[in-house]
Amino acid sequence: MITVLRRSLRTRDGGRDAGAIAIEFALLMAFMPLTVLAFGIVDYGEVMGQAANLSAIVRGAAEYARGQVVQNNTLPQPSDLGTLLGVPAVIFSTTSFCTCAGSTDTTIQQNYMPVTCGGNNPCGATPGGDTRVLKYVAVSGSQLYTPIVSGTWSFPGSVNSRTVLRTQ
Amino acid sequence: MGSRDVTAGKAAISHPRVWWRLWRDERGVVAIAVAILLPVLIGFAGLGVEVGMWFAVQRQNQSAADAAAISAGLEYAAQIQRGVRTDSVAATTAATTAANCNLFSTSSSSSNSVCPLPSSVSNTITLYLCYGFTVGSGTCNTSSSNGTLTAVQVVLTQPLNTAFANFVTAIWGPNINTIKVTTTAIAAFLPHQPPPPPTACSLPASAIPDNNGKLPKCLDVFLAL
Repeated sequence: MITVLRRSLRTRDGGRDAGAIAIEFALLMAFMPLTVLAFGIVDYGEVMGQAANLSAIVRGAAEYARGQVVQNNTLPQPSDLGTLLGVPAVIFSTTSFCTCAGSTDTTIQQNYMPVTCGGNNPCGATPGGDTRVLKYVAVSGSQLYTPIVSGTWSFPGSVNSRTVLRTQ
Repeated sequence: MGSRDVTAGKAAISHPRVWWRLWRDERGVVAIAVAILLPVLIGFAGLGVEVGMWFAVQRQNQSAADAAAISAGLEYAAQIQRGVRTDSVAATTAATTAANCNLFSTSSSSSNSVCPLPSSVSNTITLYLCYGFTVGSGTCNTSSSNGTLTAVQVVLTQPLNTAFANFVTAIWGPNINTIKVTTTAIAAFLPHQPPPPPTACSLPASAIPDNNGKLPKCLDVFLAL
């Protein structure tokens, strides 16, 4: 009886397809890394979206800081920016720096050299007639990021952005 | 079974029934489908990532273009105020410095004393003077016959090498080796409100700024595009 059954199975189509399932399972296993790839793409999109969002936030903060410096000559505190823009998760930092005005005279070495802001005009001794001070505000922002697939891809732990605007 | 194999072997190449049987045979189809579709799947995933990078670069460059336009606008406004001839070299240097500070590399960015960056010869920054510019129009008329100088347009270009896009476009050709990311910003300079005293806007070229290195407020410089 068993011999008959075995012969029957061997001659039917089902008997021929027996190995196909194993092969297709092996192919399916080969696709498993693609699942990780898919999550990686999602993480990548999330990082890019968050970076674009942070870039816009920092840009807005820099515009605000520029306005404050132009109008009141005061640089806003980083904590004020987070409260003002409603983004407590973003860590801001604000700085300002100054340079002497440029000149087309290439013999003048002070072209756009950094100088200390405030006090007596530090560019007063610049030869060439243009004694203006160029002042810039720089606003940086940082926000933590945790990827979905932790440790699989080398995603950054935080996204950062910086905007520098000239005020005078 | 042995005789069937022999028959098939003899007519394997020429017999149409063998080809027909091969055509109808579904065994191994999945392996072939996977072999064909896997590179396509990975290629399009890579293309999506690559195009995303282009837009990220464009977003970053837009900030640099805006900062450069403001800086160039402030430079032209100071020149107008002091009554000196418009100096495009000084304005270009000012714009380049601001662009470098916002991570846009140029051919001379490694020697920037304020914000040094690795130089990039292929990136360009171009300034256009806009005459008779009206806020909201969005167009920069570069001919001086349109009126007075009221705005400056800054155009940044950055060529990017393509990888996946090059591969995908090579299928139907012509393949795209590089794409050029272009960003534009316009800074306008209009009389300060409330109107400044006439003396503030007609300074001598040798005018001495105040202790902070500032000239009297004459023109407001702001982004108009």
